[in-house]
Amino acid sequence: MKGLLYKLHLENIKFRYVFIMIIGSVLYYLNCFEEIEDVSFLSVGGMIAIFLWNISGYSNGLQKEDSFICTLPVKKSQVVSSKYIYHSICKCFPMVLFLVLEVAFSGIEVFPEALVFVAFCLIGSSFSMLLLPFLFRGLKLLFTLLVIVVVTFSGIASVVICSNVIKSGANLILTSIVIILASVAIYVASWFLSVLAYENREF
Amino acid sequence: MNNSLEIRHLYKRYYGFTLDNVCLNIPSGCVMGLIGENGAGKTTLFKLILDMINRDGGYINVLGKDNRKDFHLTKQDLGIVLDEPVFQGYLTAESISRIMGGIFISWDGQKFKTYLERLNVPANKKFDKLSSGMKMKLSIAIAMSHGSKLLLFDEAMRGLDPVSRYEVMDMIYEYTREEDCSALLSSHIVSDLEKICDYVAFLHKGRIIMCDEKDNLLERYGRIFCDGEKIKSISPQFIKFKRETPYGVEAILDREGIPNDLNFTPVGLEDVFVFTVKGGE
Repeated sequence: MKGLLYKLHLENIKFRYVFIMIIGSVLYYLNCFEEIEDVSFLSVGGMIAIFLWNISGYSNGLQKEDSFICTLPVKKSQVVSSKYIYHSICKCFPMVLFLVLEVAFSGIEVFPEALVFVAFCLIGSSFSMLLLPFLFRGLKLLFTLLVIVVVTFSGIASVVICSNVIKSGANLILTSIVIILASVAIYVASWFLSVLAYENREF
Repeated sequence: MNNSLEIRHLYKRYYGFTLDNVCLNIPSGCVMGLIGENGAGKTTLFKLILDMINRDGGYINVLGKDNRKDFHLTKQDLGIVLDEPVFQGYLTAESISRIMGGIFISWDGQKFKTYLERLNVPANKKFDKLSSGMKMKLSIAIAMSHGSKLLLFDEAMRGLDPVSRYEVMDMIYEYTREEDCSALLSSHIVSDLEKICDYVAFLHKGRIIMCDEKDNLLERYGRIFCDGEKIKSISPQFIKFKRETPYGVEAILDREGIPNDLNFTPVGLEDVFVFTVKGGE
């Protein structure tokens, strides 16, 4: 895939997601400051707000953009894949930036804890990816309502479980790898369902 | 002669509107005008052809292939204008040409540039700074710059000034003749279609109420002005439309039924469409 699909999404990244990624990275980083007691809720609330802003801009332009893309010689699965690639970049970039910031400011010894935190954030946001088939099917309102519920629940749950895993003394690197692999599996399942939803969508 | 587009018994139902039993054929190298009032179903028909919405019945064959099988390959040979194109605001026509070159195998950048010059669309102006008419012209230039075998233009003249409309119709005429390409053009501005179409179809409330060669339609009917007594002497089966004015009766008739002592004037497609619609209500 080359050409329009990447260019269209690249522009979204340039104008919207640089800001989102910076804010996301800061929020992830703040979440590890133990002195700020309510930072977990702050970061979860912030991420919900960013996600909804992201989705509102994304879905408002989605219908018009997708109607135009329907006139081009591209497969529907390619359209879904390009959106997943760009969405994954936007999701992963702040996490990688957070890891870099943590190690840079706190030393390499914090890497396992930072990695397991990123892994739990990743799996928490993966559950929201399972809602994307609703968006691709054109059910914007239902998608938005589900996002509020799922992102809130998964965001809080992932942070709480992560804290408990760190305190339990488990092998953090191994735990992180398992959780990251589970996240990838959820991503793939979400992609598959989104392709099905997009194939049946009406524009 | 092969058909570029074949539609058989197409059926699509919405709440409050139904596209019912639509049948259309566009022979290769021919231009068909699709005329219909607002809400007649023109855009719905285009979306069904492009598989953007699911049909409830019938079949559609585009360039000899079912539009539900590998349609993304068929679209390489389709030039489509629906709503205006959606591009990021920072892109220029030049950068759009590079993008299209990565999507269409037969993209012709030089031809695209020629069309832009002809339509006075600046090549280096950012997309979000173009007027809606210029965006539409850009869309038309894109559709005609990759060797399309079938043009599908839905209300492509919308928002264009008269000079641009004239130029676009000229371009379409030349393109369809030189490239042996077919076209389906929809509009409710009938005068634009009258100039270049070989066939005309009338769409009214989701049904095709007439479909014929344009010349047949225009040569079949004539307009007369006469008094009330004279009109009564003409067999009603020939009278398609009648209107009483302070000066007499204006009527559109089958030319077969026009008395020899009455002069008639030719009718336009708009007249034919109006009386066909009103005659059925």
